Amino acid sequence: MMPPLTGSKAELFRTTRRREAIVRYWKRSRKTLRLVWRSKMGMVGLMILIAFLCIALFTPIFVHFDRNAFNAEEIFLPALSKHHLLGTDEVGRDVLSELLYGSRISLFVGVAASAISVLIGGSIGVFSGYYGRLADEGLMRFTDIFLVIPQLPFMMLLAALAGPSLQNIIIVIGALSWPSTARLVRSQIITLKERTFIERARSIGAGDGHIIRKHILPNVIPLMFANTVLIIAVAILTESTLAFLGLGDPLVISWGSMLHYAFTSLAMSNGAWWYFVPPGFCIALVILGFTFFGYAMDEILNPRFRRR
Amino acid sequence: MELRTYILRRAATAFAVFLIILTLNFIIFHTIPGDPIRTLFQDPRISPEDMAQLRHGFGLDKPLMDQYLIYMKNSLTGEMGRSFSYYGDPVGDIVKERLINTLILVGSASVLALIMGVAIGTLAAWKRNTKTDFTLLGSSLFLYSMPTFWLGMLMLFALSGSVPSGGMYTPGANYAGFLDRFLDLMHHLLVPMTVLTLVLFGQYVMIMRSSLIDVLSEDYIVTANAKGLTGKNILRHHAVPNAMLPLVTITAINLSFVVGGAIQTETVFSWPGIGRLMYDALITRDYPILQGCFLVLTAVALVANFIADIAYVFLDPRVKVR
Amino acid sequence: MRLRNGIMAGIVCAVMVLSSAGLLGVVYAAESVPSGGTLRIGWLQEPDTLNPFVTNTVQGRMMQKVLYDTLLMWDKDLVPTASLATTWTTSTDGLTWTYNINHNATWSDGQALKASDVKFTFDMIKDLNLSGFKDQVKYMSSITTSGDYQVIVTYSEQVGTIASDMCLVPILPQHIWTGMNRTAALAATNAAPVGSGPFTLTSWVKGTSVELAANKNYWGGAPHVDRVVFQFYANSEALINALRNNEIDMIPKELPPTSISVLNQDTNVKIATNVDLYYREISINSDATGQGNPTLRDVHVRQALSMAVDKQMLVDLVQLGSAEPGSTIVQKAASAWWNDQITLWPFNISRANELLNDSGYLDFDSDGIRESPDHATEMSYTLLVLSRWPEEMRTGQQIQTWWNLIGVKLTVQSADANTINSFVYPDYKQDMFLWGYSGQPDPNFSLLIMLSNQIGDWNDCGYANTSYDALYDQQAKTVNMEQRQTIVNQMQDIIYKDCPYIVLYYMTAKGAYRIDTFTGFVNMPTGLLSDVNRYTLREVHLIQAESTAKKTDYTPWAIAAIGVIVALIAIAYATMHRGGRKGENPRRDQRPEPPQTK
Repeated sequence: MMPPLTGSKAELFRTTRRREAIVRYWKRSRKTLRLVWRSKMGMVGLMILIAFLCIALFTPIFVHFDRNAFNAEEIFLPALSKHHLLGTDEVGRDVLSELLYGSRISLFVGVAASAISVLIGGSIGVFSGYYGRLADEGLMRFTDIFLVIPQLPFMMLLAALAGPSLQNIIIVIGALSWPSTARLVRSQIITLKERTFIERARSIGAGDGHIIRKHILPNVIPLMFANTVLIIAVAILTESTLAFLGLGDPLVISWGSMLHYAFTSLAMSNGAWWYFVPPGFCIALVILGFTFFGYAMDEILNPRFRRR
Repeated sequence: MELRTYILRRAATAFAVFLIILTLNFIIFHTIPGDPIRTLFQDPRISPEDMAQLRHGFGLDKPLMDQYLIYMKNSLTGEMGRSFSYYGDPVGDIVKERLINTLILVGSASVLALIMGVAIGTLAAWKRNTKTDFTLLGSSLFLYSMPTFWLGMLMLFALSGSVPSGGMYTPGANYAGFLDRFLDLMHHLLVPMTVLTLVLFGQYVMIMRSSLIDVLSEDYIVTANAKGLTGKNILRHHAVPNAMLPLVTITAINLSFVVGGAIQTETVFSWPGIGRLMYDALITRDYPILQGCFLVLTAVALVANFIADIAYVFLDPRVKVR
Repeated sequence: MRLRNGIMAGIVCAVMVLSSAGLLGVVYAAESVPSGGTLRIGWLQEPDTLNPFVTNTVQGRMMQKVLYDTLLMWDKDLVPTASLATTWTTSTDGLTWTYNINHNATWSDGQALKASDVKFTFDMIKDLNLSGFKDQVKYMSSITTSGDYQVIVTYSEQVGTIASDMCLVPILPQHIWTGMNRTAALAATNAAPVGSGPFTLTSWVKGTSVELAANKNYWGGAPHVDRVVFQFYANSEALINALRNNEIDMIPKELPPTSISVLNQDTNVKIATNVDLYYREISINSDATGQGNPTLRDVHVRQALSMAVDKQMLVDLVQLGSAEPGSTIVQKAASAWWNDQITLWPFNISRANELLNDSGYLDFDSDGIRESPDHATEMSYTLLVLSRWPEEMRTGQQIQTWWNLIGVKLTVQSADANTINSFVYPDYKQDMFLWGYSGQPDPNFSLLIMLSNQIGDWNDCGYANTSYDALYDQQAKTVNMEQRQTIVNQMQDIIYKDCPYIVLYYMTAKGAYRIDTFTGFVNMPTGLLSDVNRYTLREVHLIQAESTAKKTDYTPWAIAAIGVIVALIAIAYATMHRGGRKGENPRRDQRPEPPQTK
């Protein structure tokens, strides 16, 4: 058994290791990216996502939209009207600008909610998988409960009780989407736990935290990548559903809220397809992008697929 | 472990989870701000004495623990209280009827989605990485990515005038016979079921496809091939049945998500199911109905999961429960 | 002999022919309007209950009016006229009213309706102090019957609203409601109502439909239609589509504003517009002991807020012109009572700003929001908008913009009716909320909601003014119409100046009906169908008599079809399975395809 390293030699050793780790990550990412490039699905997905990200980021610079600029004269103007490429909505505002601004909220809610979800799910999965036995049983039963509760109704209930604000929606979605992540992480950790390098690390005297940080997480996180991407997609879909049902923040413009107002103001009966087709189409496209990208990443990063 | 022990253990776990969810149900609906009696009688004309009398009649003036025990006992015997918004109607009756309506919709859509998913997934896996594969997979995924309610809106818009605007039956219809009524139901079921099917089957395609790809590379398939069996034969008798196993568990787990899809479909098409009941009850803060719906849906999900677990043991020869 | 026989025969024949013609004429005249058919009505909200004392929705009250009768009923000009009481007389001092009940009225279970039922109804409401109608019987000191068909009601003091009161109280059957205590009466679901009205309840499938059957023995003449079905739709889109697809024949009220232009283009649909006894308002918490924002208790603040709302603009934008700008709390449709002489608050941002400045509400901390003169409270409010009216969220947003210009911060929140009620009662915790009030042709109820003794009851803004209370009692007892009008005008003026409500608009009753199947829709004030108008349901009839062709029963065809399919499957199965069994070696020229492993 080696004596523990101390002093400047330890420092040097640690920094070298860190540099090596960074180089390893960089090489792996480059290889991953090359594989993504080769995967048509992945590329298509990535392109879509980058496009929407640009829209969300750069819209405020180029597009001006006043949420309260109601205009009684210009209700339901059709697409390709003067000044209004996608027509106007039921209070006379430009649909295209709404659409572009809506992307910001929709994407933001998706990312924020999934961040919460992955954090919760990942922690529970790590805890459950690593410490095993009682903790595992307890946490898995806890997860089972959340899997059995009907998801959308429960979210609807919490959203209705908490009140229709944006942060409540984010919290509600995040708090109910973590079970899949937890299960995934847990199963990975269980397989990892039996691998020899964990045994070796423990025999040196490495603490739990150290093992988790240095050995487990780096192996688990790539596998969580695909799952996270899909969680973001589901979060965006859920936000749009909650907004459509009237449970979202009524003063926030998102694709879901546009569909809500389109539906309740009888855009369909009035033939105002420009009001309800584009937002839904954007949602579908973004979800598709995430799905393609996530699927491709899963094929690349998941060692199960790499066998072939 | 023995099969019987396994079944018992799973049943016990399911029951325990059910009790926990019941408790959760109770806690949620009793920590909500707002006076249920005032909610029950929206009419502010009820005097304070009447309120106290009614509160006593509903047992709401008992200590919380007593209420909890009564609630648990009632739930396990199927007594779910009385509705607020439907003014005193037993919750059990309302929920039961709506559940059946939803099962008609969700059941038919799930079955169709499964069949389509298996068929298209098999085709995609067989022709893996060809153009057929990509087209099939791509279109299935695109349909899967669409919000259910949006697809419903699109179909309603495209087909307006030629399909019913909603509901389960034609208003005020006179039926000549049972078949007449059944045909009317089918007439109204067609579009909502199609919407739900289209949104569901994409996931089944994905799972079937990857599962079948896995199976096709297994040893026993290669063996069968060497023995000289035709490709189609291999598929039908060996590969597909084994590849369908993951679908069993997924269908059960999916149940809670399918309910979400049903809520959206029912809202857009005015289908009188349990999804719409929950939504309406949420709007009117009809807590007994909400509690009842949650109870029933979780019970259904638990039962479905349980059946899937047991069925998996029987279906998958690799799982040893002995 | 033969001639006499012949003449006799001739006379007999002539008599027979003439009497047959006469009989036929009678029969024919009675059926000059084709009877039968099912009228289908669509709505977005169901009744809450069929209990007459507790029902609180327009739909619930509609049901009461068609299932039960009242002694008097408003006619098409909103004037009380005879209904169950065929004639009535008033004593010279106005304190005793005698009603003569129709002899032919029966209950839906077959029993005859007698004066004792009327007495029982009034007694029950009075003795049990039943909500819903206790104000209508408050001043009755004695109710007696004289014979089976005469009721004599004596009042303890002068009441100016007796005729319209009698249009409100449903007459209930003694043999059904007898022996109930207060709790039982309030908790009764009344799921199988026994009434004397023109329709009876066949079924109510909650969340789907209410079905009524015509009362063929109705004393006022049987309705022409056989059945009426009220179909529930979850959203406006489905409702409008149903009307256009001929799945329903009528939408009685609350036609969504954005559907009007679409329906106007449909030649089979007609839109019925009329004045309605209904307004929407912003109710401002003026309760001195309430828990809302205290700055709202200052009348100058409320006046300034009123001056920063452009009602005409809201009418154009949100209601798309199907309303009129609001003013007083008496509905404009009650034209005899509505005060049109009030000096209106102008929409004037600078005057609003001036008023706030002069009253000491300045922006002391320069954050764009004014504070109270003692610097303690910000003029920041929350407006709760009823979630059932999604278009009113736009109203809220627009008002937010306007009030921003006068240094007031407004947060707009959507909430359902129960949530709003839980804020208001009992502690008055709200700042303000957007609500609507349905009134009666008599202004009594519309004025009642501002009484200080209605705080905790109908008064949802906490307004209290003793001189207003006194005037209310006065007008309630004034029998002379002109004198009463003066007092009512005065009361409206007081409320308008104190602004506890900002009445946004008087809604017009907009309904729509198809003209290809039924005719006879009655378009009167309050709409095609309301708790005032039950004439439509009684008078509507088929344009053409329904064909009596039996509907085809497809059962035998289906059985045959199933049989054929089963046979085909059996044949296919048998054919397919003749070769290629599991484990058999295939023929040499059929090489197996290897599974692709790319």
